[in-house]
Amino acid sequence: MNSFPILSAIIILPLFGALISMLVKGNDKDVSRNVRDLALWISIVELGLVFLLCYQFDLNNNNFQNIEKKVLLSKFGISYFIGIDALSLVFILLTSILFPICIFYTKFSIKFRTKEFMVCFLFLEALVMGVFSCLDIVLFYIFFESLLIPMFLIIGIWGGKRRIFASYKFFLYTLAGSVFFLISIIVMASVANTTSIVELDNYYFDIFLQKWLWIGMFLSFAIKVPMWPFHTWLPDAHVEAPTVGSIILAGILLKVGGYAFLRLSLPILPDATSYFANLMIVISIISIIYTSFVAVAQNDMKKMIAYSSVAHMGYVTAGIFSLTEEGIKGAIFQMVSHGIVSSALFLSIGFLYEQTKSREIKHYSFLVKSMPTFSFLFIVIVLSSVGLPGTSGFIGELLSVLGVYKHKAIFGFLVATGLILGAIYMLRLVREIIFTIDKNKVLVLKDLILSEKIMLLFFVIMTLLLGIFPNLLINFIDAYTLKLITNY
Amino acid sequence: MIDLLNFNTILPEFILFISGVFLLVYGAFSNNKHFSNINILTIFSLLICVISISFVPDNSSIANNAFVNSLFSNYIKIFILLLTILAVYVSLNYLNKNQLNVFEYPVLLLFSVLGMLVMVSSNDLIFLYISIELQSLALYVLVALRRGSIKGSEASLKYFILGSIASAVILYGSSMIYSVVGSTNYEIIKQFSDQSSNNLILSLGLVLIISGIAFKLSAAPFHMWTPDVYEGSPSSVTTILVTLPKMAALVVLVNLLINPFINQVETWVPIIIIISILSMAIGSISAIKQENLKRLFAFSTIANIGYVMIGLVCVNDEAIRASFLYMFIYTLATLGVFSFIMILRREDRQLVSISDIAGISKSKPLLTISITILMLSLAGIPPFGGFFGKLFIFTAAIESGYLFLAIAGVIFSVISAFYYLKIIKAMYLDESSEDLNYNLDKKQFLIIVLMAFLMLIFVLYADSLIFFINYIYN
Repeated sequence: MNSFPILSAIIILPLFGALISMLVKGNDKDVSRNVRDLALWISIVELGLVFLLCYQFDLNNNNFQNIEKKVLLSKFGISYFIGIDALSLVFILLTSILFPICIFYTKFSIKFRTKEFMVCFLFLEALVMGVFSCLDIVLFYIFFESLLIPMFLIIGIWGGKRRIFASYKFFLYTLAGSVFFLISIIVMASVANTTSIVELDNYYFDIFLQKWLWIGMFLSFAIKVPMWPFHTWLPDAHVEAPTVGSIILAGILLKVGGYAFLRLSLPILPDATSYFANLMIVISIISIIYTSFVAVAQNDMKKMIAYSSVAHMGYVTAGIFSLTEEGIKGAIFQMVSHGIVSSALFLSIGFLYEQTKSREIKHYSFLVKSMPTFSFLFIVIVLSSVGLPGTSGFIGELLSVLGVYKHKAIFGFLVATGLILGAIYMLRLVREIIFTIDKNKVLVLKDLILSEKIMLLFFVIMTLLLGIFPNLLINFIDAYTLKLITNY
Repeated sequence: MIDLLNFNTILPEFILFISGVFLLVYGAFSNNKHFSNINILTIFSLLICVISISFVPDNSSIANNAFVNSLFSNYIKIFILLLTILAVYVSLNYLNKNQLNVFEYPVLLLFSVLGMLVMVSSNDLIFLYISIELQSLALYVLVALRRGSIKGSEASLKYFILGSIASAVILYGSSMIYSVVGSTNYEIIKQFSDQSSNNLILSLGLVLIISGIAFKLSAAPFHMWTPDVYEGSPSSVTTILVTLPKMAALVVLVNLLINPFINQVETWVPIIIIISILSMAIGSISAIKQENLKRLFAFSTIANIGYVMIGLVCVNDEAIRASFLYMFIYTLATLGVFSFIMILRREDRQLVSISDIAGISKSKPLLTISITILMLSLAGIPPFGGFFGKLFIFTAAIESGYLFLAIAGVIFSVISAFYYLKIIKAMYLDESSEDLNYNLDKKQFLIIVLMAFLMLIFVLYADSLIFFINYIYN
């Protein structure tokens, strides 16, 4: 189509930026300012490239586009094979939007070792872009696993008090799941003698093998998503991570799990997917209900949002494994919506935390008086998280529930109970910190400054935009979804 | 009498021997004043030796097929010699700073390498025993080089006694095989074992030899000496211990198992499986509690040998190539790691504990990144070299039907990731109590960065490397 390898450029540009950042020298203050500016510009140029990619994208073409292929290892033909379809593009776009915002926000939250942070962060961006665009399963594993390294450092260096424990738990937990994915990859490659995802889609594994391969992949993806009972790393990682780390973790890294289910499990192993579908929906329902109850009991705001993330990702997995058009569309929509909403929630808590150094709900009260703008924006975000009509959360959850209902009515009913539970804890949070008047609490808070307002407002506009015009996204993934469910 | 026409068959060994003797005499008469000269001459003679290998015919043998050269053995020799050059180069300053600059050091190293070269070519149990003894004896003395240190003496004594027992076990096994076969030559043993597949004494002899070689490889359950010896010996000697003899011993084991005892697979495959799993388990689990870097990497070595053994279990060419690929990656990464241990020095004191490297990332960013890459590579995290090593080993295991070995391998690799992370954690996450602004030795620094770079870009040259291994081993 055209000669400029735009997709490779998207992967390489942040890597290049990271290398340049390493070379920046000078006194600490200059370095951190220059490096941050550099990283910001890199991520903005990256966003521009992604827009260019979207502009070129042909919605009517259901095959992978912007394909680039170069054989790396002759064994199984493991290759640098990248290309995008609508699903990839959605997540690439989400990533490229969230990164500049996070880098901008580091100005307020990352006070030391900025250079190292930016290097980690740009590496992370490159690897995430790699995950969402590669079409070779070994390459996918490489990107998928490499994500752990920068994230380990981000949590470990810039995290809170128990950062070392949290970063270890995050790394080892995720690694332990992933190695079984590796075994599945090797078995698939040995049987089919190819590692290209496109060719594996068309290869038929026998049903017995499919089940075992599926379980290997499930262990890895379920930890990444995370699904109950593999979610225990997430609250620790979220609580200890710096605000931007939490945003990327909730906004993007969790989506890698859902993306992997859609990209690998569903098309490559259709029989096993159908076989396990009911089980997966049951686990999703447990995820939603159990973590909602756990979230109700939390006193730490960040932990509460972390548990709500698990619950919201439950809708995603339930939607995916309903194996219906609505369910899968809902899952993708919910992932995007959660990417926006949870990022905004973590960002809001970050704003509060920077002022008071506390994440306890009981330390805040009556913010509506001291921080009116914040309160207004925060309530919109919370309502979106709860799934109020008119916000993006509503569409995602509605479609997921609809899909699950079509699959089996009782499951649909159970998934829908999660909506009420979600409202309980999120609205309690709003009541406690925004509207309750408690004279004993004397924390004086300043309202948001302009740049903070703009950041939060951006998320609010995004969620309202997607809530009011859901077809923006749904039309985009229409052809993809139809192609995916032809197997079922 | 050596036939002059066949003389170039042993040319590299001969050159090494002559230069060793020459340096011994030179050193003895120079009164230890020309240590740097001797080192330069050592590197020089090793280089000549590398060049001389090009004159060695690919398929040549002397002494009634007791010493056989092949394309494979020649390239392995070149690898061992080049690795020796790097090991000498990297330890120059270490030896000077730690008062180990005695002329015996390079001389003994040359003799040890001579032993390894003969090991690689040996096609006869007698040659095997003699060469293993030659390389071991020289290493026993090298380990004992730090006479004043109690730990050093303990290490050398332990290494010597246990090593001698291992050699004796090899000799005992060889004599058993000789008693039934009537010859020590591999070809004749092969003919015999092809005809009588379940000869008990032959099997027993084989088991004893495997045990002895497993000791040299420091594979569990013959690994007990490893942590103590690695800790007690000077770091430059440990660098040699973890790299060179492992490669030579692996070649010996492959030559022995795949050539004369290929029909005894039901005898030795279960043994190698047990050795492999035990090594991975002990290496991964015991390292967790270690605070001393040298002990930690001793256990890491044991674990890595376990992965190498998986390739042998599969008994096919591709799996053995995967083993050698893994060994190649492992030796390079370990060379970098031990250069790092040698580089850690503050106020006339070598640092060996994890707490000593706390917070090093602030003052030495490039060093820290390099070590991080080496650690992640050893842990098998993509996209570094170690991941591909493990990928090929596990692929070989799965294709040969040993899925459980691959699963054991991945589980232990997760466990071992814990202690590699511990080092990364210490460097990046911990705060340092002391000022870490010491000067780095340029030579060691260069090797560390070079090895990290090789691990980083492994995927770019992996295919050529695999192609090359296919070419030399088929």
